[in-house]
Amino acid sequence: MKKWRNTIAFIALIIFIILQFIPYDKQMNRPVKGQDLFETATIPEDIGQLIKSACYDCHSQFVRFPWYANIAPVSWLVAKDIREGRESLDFSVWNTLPKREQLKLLDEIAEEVIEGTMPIDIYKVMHLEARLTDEQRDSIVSWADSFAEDLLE
Amino acid sequence: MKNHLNRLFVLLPVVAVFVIVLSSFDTNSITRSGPGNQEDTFVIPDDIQGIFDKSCFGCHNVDSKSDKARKKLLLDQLHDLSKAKLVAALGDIKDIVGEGKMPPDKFLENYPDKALTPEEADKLKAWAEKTADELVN
Repeated sequence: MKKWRNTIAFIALIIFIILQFIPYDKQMNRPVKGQDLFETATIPEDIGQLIKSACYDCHSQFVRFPWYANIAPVSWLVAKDIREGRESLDFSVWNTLPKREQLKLLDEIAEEVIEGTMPIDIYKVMHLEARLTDEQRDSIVSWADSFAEDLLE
Repeated sequence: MKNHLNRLFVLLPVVAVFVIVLSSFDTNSITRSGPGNQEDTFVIPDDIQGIFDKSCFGCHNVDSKSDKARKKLLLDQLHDLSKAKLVAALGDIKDIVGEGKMPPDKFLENYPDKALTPEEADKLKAWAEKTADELVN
């Protein structure tokens, strides 16, 4: 019985090691000066902190990679979330977007934050600061709406 | 008796003033003059309205049975949106039509004639993009 247990553990270890060598689409940070939201817009400090801690790890070029983000299979999941996050919204190219696109994204931010679909559940498991209170959600929505109005002035 | 009459003389003008003030309110103008009203600046051309009526309006109106569709977009309420929200809605229309997501496949199984033709989809996208750009500039 013990021999079987050792054999299974050994095979699992070999599989785990092999997984580390499987190539995947690792997402790198490639910020371009002058393009990030925070570089031109004046964001209230409390909102800025919320956005950076709850959104920037998938929606920017300033992703903080924790140690486990380099270990497969978690690394694959992290890479997928960042790729998809940047495809729908990348705050680090904000200043290159047409105004109508910015307004659409602000509307989506408000909608997803108030509905609780963002930040995604799996991210909140490892990031306590991304578990937003109702008050924090409301403040992000109010900011998104007023920032959108400001863009039209 | 005299006291009652005195009270009546005091109350009558007060009531009269109250009634005059109330009747001078035009409730319609209150609901239509908010900051979100785009009635004067936003006009949907007939050809675009025709496409909406054929393929979109059945679900995206205030009386729709689909909560999801109502929540996403109300084509009969576009005029009441703020300019920022209207631009966002036009952006959504452009993207979702561009991705071929609307009308949904499930809906088209029962109503294949409601599908957007490629020409209609292109026309809708171009109009949504152009109108959004005009609104922001």
